Amino acid sequence: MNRGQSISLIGHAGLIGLLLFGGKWNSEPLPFEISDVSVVSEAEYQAALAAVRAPQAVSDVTAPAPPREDTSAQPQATADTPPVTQDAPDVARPEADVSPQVDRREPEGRTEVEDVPPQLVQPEEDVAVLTPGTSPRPKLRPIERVAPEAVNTPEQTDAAPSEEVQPETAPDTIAEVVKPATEAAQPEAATTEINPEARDDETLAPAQSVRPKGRPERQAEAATAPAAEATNAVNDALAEAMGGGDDTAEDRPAPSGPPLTGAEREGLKLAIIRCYNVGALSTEALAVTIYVSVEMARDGKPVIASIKLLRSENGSEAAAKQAYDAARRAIIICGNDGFELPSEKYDQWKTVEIKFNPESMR
Amino acid sequence: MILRLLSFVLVAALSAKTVAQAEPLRIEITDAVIEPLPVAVPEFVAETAGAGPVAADIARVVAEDLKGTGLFREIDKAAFISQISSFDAPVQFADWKAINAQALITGAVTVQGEQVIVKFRVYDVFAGQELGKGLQLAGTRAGWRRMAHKVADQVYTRITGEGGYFDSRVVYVSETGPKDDRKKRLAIMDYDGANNQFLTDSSAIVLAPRFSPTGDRVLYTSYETGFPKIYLLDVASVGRRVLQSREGTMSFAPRFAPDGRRVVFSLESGGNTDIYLMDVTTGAEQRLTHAPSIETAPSFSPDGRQIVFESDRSGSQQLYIMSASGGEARRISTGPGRYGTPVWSPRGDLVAFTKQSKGRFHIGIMRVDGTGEKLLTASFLEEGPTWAPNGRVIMFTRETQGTDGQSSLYSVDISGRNLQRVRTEGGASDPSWSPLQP
Repeated sequence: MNRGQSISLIGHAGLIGLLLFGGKWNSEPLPFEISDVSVVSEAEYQAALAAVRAPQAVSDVTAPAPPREDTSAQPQATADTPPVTQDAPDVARPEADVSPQVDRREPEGRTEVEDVPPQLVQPEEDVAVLTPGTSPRPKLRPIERVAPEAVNTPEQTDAAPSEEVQPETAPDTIAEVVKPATEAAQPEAATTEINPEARDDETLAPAQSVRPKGRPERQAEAATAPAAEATNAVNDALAEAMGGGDDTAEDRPAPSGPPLTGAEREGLKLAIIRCYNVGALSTEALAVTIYVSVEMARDGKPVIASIKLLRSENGSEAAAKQAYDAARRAIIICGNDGFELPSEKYDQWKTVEIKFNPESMR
Repeated sequence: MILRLLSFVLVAALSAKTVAQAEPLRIEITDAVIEPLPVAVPEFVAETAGAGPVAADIARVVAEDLKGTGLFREIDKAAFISQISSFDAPVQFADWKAINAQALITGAVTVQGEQVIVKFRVYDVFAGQELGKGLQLAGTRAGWRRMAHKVADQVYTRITGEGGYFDSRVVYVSETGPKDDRKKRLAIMDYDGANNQFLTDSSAIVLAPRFSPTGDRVLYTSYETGFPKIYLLDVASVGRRVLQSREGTMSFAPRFAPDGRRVVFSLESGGNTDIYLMDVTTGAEQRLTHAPSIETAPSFSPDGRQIVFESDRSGSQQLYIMSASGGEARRISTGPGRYGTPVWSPRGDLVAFTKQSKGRFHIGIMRVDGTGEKLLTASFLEEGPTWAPNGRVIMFTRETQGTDGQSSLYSVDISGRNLQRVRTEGGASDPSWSPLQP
């Protein structure tokens, strides 16, 4: 082991150890407040209470003397005079319409509003409904050669190059060498300028907005978030330790999300049974129980190359082969248009292990 | 020390990663469908001038053999997208898949004078690969049907995994005339009714012909002398001889032992019928049963160690199994009704029988321990089952009701499916299926 590897190994081991056992060494105390406390006697406490106690109601309060009648102040009757009337306000001249005072002060915490549509936040999960049919693999960068004029890409043909080695020919020295008329070869596909950032118009973004997910339970969120973080951290560390980077599909952890319902499982079973034809099986092959594994694409179609016989019971190898052939045909034929499976639960049915045990047909 | 610790950490990390891998969805399929498998049998390629008619005939017989099993369905040629114009050309599997052909049989025929050469290939269309390797057979113009049957046997074996039965023959009792004056004679034909030939004339009543294990000889019972006696007939020469028998006895229901050198049969003497074993060459007899009841219809197990037979020793006709050297027998039939004419399957796992219950006759099968009894047919009168060489199909006699009732041969799969009448010239009864021809 060279020095670099040793250092890397020790470093990673340390990192893993820190993640696993770091919590125990963390002695930083939690923040807290300090209050002054003094000891007082009961009397002092009562006195202090009395000072702030509400006033007591008393009953020996003298009633106030009634006011004396002041006759001089009585109004004298006078001759009847017409009342002085005040002019009514001139309604024809209304007051100027005063516009209300507008508070032109800028509100605190002013938000900038732009006339642009809100940016959709791409959900982290649950995008299966609008998942593009192809995996988001990086596209090949378009042509970077420069040519004087743009030329179309040559048409793809199904013709495979012949593997047959053509015998080398030598020019006939006697006969007149006639150059065969050849068609001008189509120039290589090229563009007139280099545009390294050019990409296809095709976008992998979903064409429609995704229905927002329901708000998760607060309690659940609080409970799972740290655990998820910890799991991710550990997984990252483990992946790092193993020299692996990104998780492949096969290395994905246990399927997430709700499991298939009974009806969904039954639907898959019925779909396979519909094509599981044991009519041409020998009696021995009919008695065999086989276990078959198949990988499924997101569109519900079986990946034919992935179908494999895991093991068999109660029969010879030849009988198991016959039974497997029938099972394989069933998966391929009835999965031709894709099995009806909930795409949002893809993790649950990405790999299917089927036990073919046609006991009712024996 | 540090390295050990690091190794431990890495192993632990690896284990944790393995545990974290996704669990597959597990389901169990306990049911299935039973439908004929769609097969495509394009015309065989004629590789020489004049080979066209033979090529067409061979392809037709191959297709009919496969269809006749009830396990295959021939796809209409009009639906073909691809045509097979060259035997060695690569197969366009997508074209055959598109018409749901699950198996494809291609072939080519060469005719040179009287010699016919046929070659064929079988493909699993959905697997996109050949089943087994291409095979070539050579024969004569006159034997083109047998060549076709051999091709069909190979195809059947490659697809189903069990032996075929097409290149085989059936010997039976041909019946003509009204019921009260019926003429009976031995006849032999291909399993599908073709190439029918008569082996005896109708001057004497003949019963129960049975093929030898090699298919070259036939045992049968004849009333030629007024008493039933057992005869041995050579199929090729049609020469025959009576097996040695004692005066004043009746011998009948013969059947070969698997070694072909001994014959087990019933012999009636003094009003009692028991089972005997005879050496065909020397005529030496050995009595196998000693009961006052009627013991008859013996049939050897394929390994030659046991014999199944019928007996009324319990008061009704039932099935028993004993050692090939005689001795104590154990009863294997336990259901209601009467059981008779047991025949041991070539595979050794089943016994076919005739059952009479509630006024009807049935052909049925059961395991050799008496369990798993299954009745395959039911009618006014049927009897005398015989097994196909592969132990998958049973042929038997069915007779219609009435004074002008006619006997015919029928075949049925041991699953009880694909009951069909066998083509014969006139009435027919008592079939015996030969082994596959060499």
